[in-house]
Amino acid sequence: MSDELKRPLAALGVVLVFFLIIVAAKRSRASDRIAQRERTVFDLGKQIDDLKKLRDDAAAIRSQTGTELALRADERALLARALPKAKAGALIEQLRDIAQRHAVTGFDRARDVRDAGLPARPARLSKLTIQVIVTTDWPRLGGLVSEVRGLAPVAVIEEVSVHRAEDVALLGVRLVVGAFVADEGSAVTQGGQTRMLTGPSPFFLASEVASGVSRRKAGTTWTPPRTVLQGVLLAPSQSQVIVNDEAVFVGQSFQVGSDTVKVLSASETAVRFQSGEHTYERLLAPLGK
Amino acid sequence: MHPEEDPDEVDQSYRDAFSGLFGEEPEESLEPEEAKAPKASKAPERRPDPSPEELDENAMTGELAGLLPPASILPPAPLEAPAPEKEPEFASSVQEALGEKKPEERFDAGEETRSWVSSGHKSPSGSWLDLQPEGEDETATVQRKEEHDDLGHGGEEQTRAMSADDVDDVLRDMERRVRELHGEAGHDTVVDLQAPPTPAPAPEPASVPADPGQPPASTAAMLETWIRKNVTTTGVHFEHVGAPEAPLPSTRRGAALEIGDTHIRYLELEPRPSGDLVATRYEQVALAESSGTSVEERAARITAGLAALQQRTGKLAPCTVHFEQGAVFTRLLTLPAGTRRVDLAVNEAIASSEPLAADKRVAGVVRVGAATAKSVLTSYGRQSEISRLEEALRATSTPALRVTSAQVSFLEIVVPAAARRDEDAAEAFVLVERRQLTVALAARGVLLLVLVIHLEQEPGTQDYVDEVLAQLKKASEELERACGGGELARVRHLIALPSEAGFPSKEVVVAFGRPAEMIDPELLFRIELESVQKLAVPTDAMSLLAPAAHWATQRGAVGLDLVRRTSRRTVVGAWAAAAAVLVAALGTAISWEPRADERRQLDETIAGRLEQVHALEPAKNENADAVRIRDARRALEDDRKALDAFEASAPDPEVVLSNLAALKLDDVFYEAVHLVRDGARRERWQVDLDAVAVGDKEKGPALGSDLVARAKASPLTEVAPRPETPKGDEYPITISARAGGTP
Repeated sequence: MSDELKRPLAALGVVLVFFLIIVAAKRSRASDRIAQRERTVFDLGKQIDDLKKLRDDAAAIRSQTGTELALRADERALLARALPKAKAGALIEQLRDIAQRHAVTGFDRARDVRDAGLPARPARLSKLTIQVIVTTDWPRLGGLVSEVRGLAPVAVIEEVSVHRAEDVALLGVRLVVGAFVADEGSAVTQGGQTRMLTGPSPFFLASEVASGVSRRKAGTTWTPPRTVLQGVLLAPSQSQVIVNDEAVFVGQSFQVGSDTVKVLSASETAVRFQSGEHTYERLLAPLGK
Repeated sequence: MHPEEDPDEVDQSYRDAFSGLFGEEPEESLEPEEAKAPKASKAPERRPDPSPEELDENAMTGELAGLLPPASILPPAPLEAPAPEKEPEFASSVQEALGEKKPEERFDAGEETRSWVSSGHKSPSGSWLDLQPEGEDETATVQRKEEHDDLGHGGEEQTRAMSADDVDDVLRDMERRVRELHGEAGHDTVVDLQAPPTPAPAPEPASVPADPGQPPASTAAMLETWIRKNVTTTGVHFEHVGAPEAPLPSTRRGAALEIGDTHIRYLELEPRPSGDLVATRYEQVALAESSGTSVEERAARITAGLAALQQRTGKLAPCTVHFEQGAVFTRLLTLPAGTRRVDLAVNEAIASSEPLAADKRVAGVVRVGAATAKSVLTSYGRQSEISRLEEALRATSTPALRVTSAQVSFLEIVVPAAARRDEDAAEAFVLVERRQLTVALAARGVLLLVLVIHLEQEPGTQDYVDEVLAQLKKASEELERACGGGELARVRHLIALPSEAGFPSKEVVVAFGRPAEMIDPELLFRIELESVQKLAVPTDAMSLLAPAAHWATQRGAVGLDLVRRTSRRTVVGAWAAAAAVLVAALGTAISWEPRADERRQLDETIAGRLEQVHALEPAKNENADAVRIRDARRALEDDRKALDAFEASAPDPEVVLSNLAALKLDDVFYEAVHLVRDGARRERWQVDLDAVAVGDKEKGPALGSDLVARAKASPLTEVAPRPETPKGDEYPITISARAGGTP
């Protein structure tokens, strides 16, 4: 090969190589593009299948669950059965009133009736738990339970614990009341009947009741609980006592809270009455005073 | 593309004059019937079996014509040379009609580069040029005399310079004869100016590089007639056609490498900024003696010699390689300027039975009167030898620019450089070498005729001088004849003989009868004489190598090259192919998109699927909404269940307490009662009763058992007693049970 031809042939070779490289590169690129498009077609087909499946699933779910409007209606209906959150405090006060009426001694409204609080996380429907601690006797225990149970279905007794006391012939009662509250709740509480438990208390032996002494506290007499007679103002005569502007004659009973008080005797200075198992005497101030 | 192929205005008269070269039939009307008859009748006689004398003469013709290599390098097996199929068409029917020559008389009309040996052989050219006054054959003598008479030359006036009156006489005489021939028909005189037919070639005894029997492209006689036809009343005026080529500057180191029979010589020139050249290296390496003369043996010697030279000199400069004399031959063809049959003419001129390495180039275009001719210089040699030489050069990594001969370098470089381009008259150039004599006729620097004469005598002897001078005298006569009888302006000669040969250069003046000037290579090519003297370069080495080395210092210089180099057309074609491929590559890079249809279909598929995806896109939200509603529904149901369970009516705890109170026995009291709503639906109570039985160890447990029995008999379910450790007379017992609900 002559020198004159070497350069053009070299150039031709280079150009040919360049040409072949271009051809190979373009073919490779075309293959890549084809492969990429085929992958895209495959992915799109898969995506279409998935979307169709989603569409079918959505239709199936919708056929089962109904529309959102129906859901909202059901939700409203459900929440209507719950206590409005705004009335949770009223429920607690109502329980406090009930507890106070049946407490025999030493009742503190704020301390003995309190709630565990609503969960910090806001929820559509929250359960409010209220604890009621009352010291009472066996008959009043029935009244307490029946009145609280009268709050159902807004407030329901979840737990009842009754313990025998040793210092007095009373029972320590602990009630756990639950209530569902919701912002959209609309349930209202209704008052229940008061039904006292009858018969002797099963928490004491008959001998203990008769002796007024706990068998576990030998030598210590039970201190009878005091009954606070509010509203007894005066005894205008020996046969009549004025209570809450009503005249109550000796031998008659009147209601003081949940207690039924029977007037045993009356004088101008004192009135003897019986509340439950205990007899009390209250000195009265002169009428003119 | 060769310049001779450029379209040019063709002198019609000159084309007509050379009509035989172009295969044109001579006009029938101009040829008398009696002239045709003997020609037709004698045509078969031109190809008889050659007699021994004819064989000898024809064999000598090839060798004398410079077409044959020395007999020593010819292969021993004779090859039959192709004989011409028909009679040359440029035979002058007019001359035959005029009886100026016999139709069967033929001479080598196409041989303008001719050589002959000086003794012992009869030149075929002697038929029209008396080269051998003594012993020439009769036919040749008659032809010579007739031609000389036709041209107005007597036998004693053969070497006389032609004057303007002579030219006028010749022209008037020719015009008269042509008018007589054509009668009243106004016709051009081209036919009678055509060259006479060539003699019938004889089969060659051996393969030759160029077959002299082939119809020649042009002849000295044709040149002569052409010049004579176009001569003016004031003489012969040559004009150079086209702008002369500007001399190329020397820009690099260049060298000439002469590979001779017995030695290798290397001359290196380096240009100075001023343009002068400095001889920087001269080396001579003797070739080892060889037992034979085969091409392979000589190639081995040459390879070894080149290796030795490179070992001695180191890296060689780009060089012109002069192959040994006798291996490279030269011919000059003078053709009409407008002809496009240069290749055909050259191929016919150097036709050979064995492969040749050849090259040609237009040496120049010259005009005489209204006629224009271009001279085509051709160089050729055996392909086998050139190939071996090329292999040797390649094996030794010799930076060869071209392979040629000293003779070609003289004709290509020295003659144009030394010629007077500003003179009308022609000049003669003579190169005297050891074994051959080159005589060239040039006008305005354009070669018109080249004679190559092989010498037989040894240089340094008087016989050699005599032989050279005799040949020069004959050559001068032929040049003047070829020049249309005009005088030569001068003769410039270059003696390439060793200094010890002592050739009397002044005798050249005597031989030519014209002023002679010696060509000084150092002066001609601006080579610093001090550097030549410092290197002690022999005179003949400077004469032979300086032109070639000077050529090698020029970038882009054009010259004959026997190495088969790629033609410019091929190179241009290769570049064009590279450019085409580049364009195709760029076009491919820009526009070609393979698998476009497949990709387009995929794109359409993707577009369709994207539309589907977009159409199905709401399904995501729908599904999310459905799932959200479902989850909300589930949460709502859970809340509903919880609320239902919360609101479910469990047994009244008051009743439970009453029932528990009813279970109590005497001497039994309850320590504690614990009720907790229980069950999946919160419909029952889990009851834990801590009771204490009071009594002795017999009564206490019995009371406990009775209590349990009563409990089990009550509506309580799942009663599970668990006795505790007694404390005194108290026997505690814990009873777990459930109240209400489904057991």
